[in-house]
Amino acid sequence: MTFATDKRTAVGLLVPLLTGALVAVALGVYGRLHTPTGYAVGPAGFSGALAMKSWLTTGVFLLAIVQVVSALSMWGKLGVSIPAWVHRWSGRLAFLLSVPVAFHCLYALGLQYDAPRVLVHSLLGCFFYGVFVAKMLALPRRGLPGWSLPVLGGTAFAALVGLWLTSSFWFFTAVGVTF
Amino acid sequence: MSRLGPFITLAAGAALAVGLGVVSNAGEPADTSPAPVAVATAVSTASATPSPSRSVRPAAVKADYAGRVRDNGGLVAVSVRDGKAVGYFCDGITEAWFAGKAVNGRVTLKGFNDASLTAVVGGGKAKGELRFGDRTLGFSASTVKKPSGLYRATALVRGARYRAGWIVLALPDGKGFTQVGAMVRDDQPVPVPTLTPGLPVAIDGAAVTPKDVDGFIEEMP
Repeated sequence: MTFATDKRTAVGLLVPLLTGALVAVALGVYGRLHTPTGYAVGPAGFSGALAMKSWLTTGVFLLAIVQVVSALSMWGKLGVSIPAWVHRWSGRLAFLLSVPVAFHCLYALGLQYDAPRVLVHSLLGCFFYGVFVAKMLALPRRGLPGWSLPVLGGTAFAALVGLWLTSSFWFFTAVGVTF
Repeated sequence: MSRLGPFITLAAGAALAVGLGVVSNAGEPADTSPAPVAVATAVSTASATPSPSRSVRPAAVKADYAGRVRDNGGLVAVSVRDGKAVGYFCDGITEAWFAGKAVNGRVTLKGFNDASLTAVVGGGKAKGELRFGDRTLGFSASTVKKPSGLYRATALVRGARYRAGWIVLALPDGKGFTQVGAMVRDDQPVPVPTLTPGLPVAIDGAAVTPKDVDGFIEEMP
């Protein structure tokens, strides 16, 4: 009986994971097929697109740390109780902040692989949104294995750390800490 | 609400991306060609109707041409901005910068050591020849749009003076780009980094952002 339930629950992850995989592949294919424009509309107030993206990504990164801490609290690993809305709204804000960044990447620059940093960043970017979509689709599902959300959330966070290192960190060290 | 929340989040993100796409697309000239143009071009052509009328006028106020040099395999780029014009030739081994005037659809540019570039521009084409001493190379270049075109970078890195040039050209099948470039360090040729238009290149560890024609034409004589 327990075995049957476990089998059914693992199957529940299939649709979110497949959809996430499709999203990741679709983003990558778009990044290759669409001719990069070198230009995209985005938030104003920065010296350039790269500075804009570096700072937005840093904002996303900080919110993602809030995500991990609030998730740990949710699972009773911290001993302090952080309200559920902190996790929800920091996540929503982080996702929305990331959209102009990803848009500029895919629309203006495209998926590139002429340097290791660029290759890793391109693939991680597609992977991140795939995992994020899988996490969002898994959230409302009842009866999933207990590890589902921590694994999906943790994977998204790991991908984001990689994205930040290959973009913002590179920009701040190679170009400088400029707005 | 909590069951719908994740879907609303995804929908909001998708809507934001679509909105950015619509606005970015509107920022480009109404042109059906697959390679869109950067905003600098979009702004200047917004007042006048784009390409069709421009190709009728013999003396283009702002035009970028790039193409292959006959019998050589190198690339040549010519850009005109309000009577001023710049040119660049590069085949990966030798390179030459040119600067001069564009008057009545005639571009007359000078380089170093008796090198010169002359061309007739109009009808979406720049046809002319390059002269290096007694060697003459003919070329025919078509109008190009960003990210195709001419790029230049100059930088002082740890006391060494660098100058680099690139010509980016869309492949005829529209799938990707070819580029040729060259760099000198204190006037001695050194390997040139690959250019991704809009992004900085690493020159001896320093990040330098190559400029497009609008960015560097003021520096040219």
